[in-house]
Amino acid sequence: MNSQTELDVLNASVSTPTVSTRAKSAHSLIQYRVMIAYRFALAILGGYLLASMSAIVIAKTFADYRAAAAMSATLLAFCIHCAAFIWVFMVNKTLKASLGILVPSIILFVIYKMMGN
Amino acid sequence: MRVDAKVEGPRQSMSWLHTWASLILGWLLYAIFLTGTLSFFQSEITAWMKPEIHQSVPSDSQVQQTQVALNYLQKNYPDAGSWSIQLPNSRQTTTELNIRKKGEDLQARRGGERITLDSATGQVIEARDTRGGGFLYRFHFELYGFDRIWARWIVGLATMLMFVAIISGIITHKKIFKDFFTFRSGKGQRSWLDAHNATAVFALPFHIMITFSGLLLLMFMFMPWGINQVYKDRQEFFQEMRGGAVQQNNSRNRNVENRSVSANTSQARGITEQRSRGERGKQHEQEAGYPAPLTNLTPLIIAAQAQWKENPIASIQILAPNTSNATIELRALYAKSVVERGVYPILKFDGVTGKDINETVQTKNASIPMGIYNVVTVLHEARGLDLTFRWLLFFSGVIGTLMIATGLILWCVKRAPQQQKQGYKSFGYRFVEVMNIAAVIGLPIACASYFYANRFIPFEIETRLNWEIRAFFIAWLATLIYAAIRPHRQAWLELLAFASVAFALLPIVNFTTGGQAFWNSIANDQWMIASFDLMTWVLAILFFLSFYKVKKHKGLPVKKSRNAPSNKEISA
Repeated sequence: MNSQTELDVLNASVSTPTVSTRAKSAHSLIQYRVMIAYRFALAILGGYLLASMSAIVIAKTFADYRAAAAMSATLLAFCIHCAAFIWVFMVNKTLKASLGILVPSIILFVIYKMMGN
Repeated sequence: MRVDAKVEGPRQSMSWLHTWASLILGWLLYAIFLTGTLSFFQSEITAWMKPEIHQSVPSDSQVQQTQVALNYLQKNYPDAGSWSIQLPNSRQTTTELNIRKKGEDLQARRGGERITLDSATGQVIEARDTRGGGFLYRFHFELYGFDRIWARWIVGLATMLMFVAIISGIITHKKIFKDFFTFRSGKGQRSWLDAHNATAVFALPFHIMITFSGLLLLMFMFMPWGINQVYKDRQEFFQEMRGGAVQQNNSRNRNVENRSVSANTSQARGITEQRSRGERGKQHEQEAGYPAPLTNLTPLIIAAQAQWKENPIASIQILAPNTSNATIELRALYAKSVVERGVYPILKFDGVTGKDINETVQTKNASIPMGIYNVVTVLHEARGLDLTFRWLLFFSGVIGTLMIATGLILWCVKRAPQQQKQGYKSFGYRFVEVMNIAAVIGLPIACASYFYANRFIPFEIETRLNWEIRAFFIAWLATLIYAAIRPHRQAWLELLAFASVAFALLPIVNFTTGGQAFWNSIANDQWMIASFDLMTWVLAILFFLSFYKVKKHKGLPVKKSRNAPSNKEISA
């Protein structure tokens, strides 16, 4: 991480925002904090939900191979959780991040229901 | 993730995520990494903490070691149901015996009588009551004093955040290869960044392996959903996880491994329970049998040594000794491969005639996902790996610990100029500063006090085991309080100095309180004791160099504020 741009990035994240009035800054700061807390919750819980749903569907799809299916579903689930976590923070719009977690989870749930037990 | 909601590129948002996801549980991660790294040498730590066993200096010949153990067993327990002898090795100075009565469940994990013998003289050694390295090992995935389930979930969350931090760190990091060869020392924030990057990249495969396998080792708790879909009964899964190696493992002596991996997950417990159920049938056959003298073990040992060459004999199990049903099983110290979990070379002999009765078992190759699981978890636990590999893992763990430490400090260093401009330290900044001190230097001091407590708490106190652990936490808390009340720079300096003195004195405390002095342990080839002493000196030097660097450091080049500027150069 040696290029100048990267140092700038680091410094940028440190610098305080320049908002005109104090009231506005306080308001937006709270909003910001709520957004961050929400994203962490989304990344941790939502990511876990998505990972679990994928594990279930993957394991069920390849159930013929039993041990290998169960193991690869679990291996992938952890990777999916990590990827989802990162994705939640890579997206600019909070709504997009939420939908990106929820929609695939719902789709996977539907698939799971359709496969029957 | 900017307050002003300006659009950022992926790299910038990852930089943000890397910073904050790491900081939330960074101190916990540091503690997990440090205690986990020490756990690679769990047996060494335990041995150091039981100075009574230092006197055992085993002879070089395994035949002789076995003879010492057998003499004791024949004299004291001739009618036992089974004998298990763990011979001394490079990570064990004594001979450990486990004797089970007739009719006792031979495969149950706990049970039987455990006796520690002086490997040379055959005398019974009563060592002091201590949790030893086991405490640190337990702490790294169960913490202490919490409900076990909760603690594991907390550690699991920290592990996931670590995983996220690693991946987002890689995304942020543009020029991994070039930067790896770049270190600019004495340049403040830049140096910290370089140090953080270098430690991260240098052992990157290790970091990924240890984090991912950390999740996998507790997967039955964190992510059981996929497995539950396929298996109604989890026991079946355990059975298939062991794959073709089932039969071969059935009656092997698991004492060595089980102690170190004990109750790692409910998984381990499940496997054992199931094994023992299957074994009971077999046992009944063995109970009938008429007295018959045990064969001479010397040729068997020589045969095993000839076959295994560099791989020494770890343990000898004799079922139904001194009867016509006696069987002898020899097990090697190092595992066959890392792709299969816990498969060790084993030889079986008839206990009366000494005839080779090995069954040839076809082992099925592990499937790819199983292989991945096995490789990473075996490496994580360093099961059945030789010393060279163990040291490599240990040093990677040290580098990982340094990576976390430099990262935590970098957070402060980066924000120091802004804090200085503002003229006072904001609460959040000060909080991180104090926590950094309490974690980065406080934890080593806590470990040192654990070792001191081990030697200075009197033998007779009944709850001395608890007091050792209390000493650990009291010292840790004390560093936190100290860090909170002292100025930042002073706290670093004084605690670093304290840590280096504390570690430098440990080898001296060792031989003055009944342990084997390091010159003797080196002369006797007891490297597991000597390396503990030498390692404490290495740490002492490390802390002293850090002390020296911080002392020399002038602070930020700009106008000095009232509060001491927060720059220190620990690993620079």
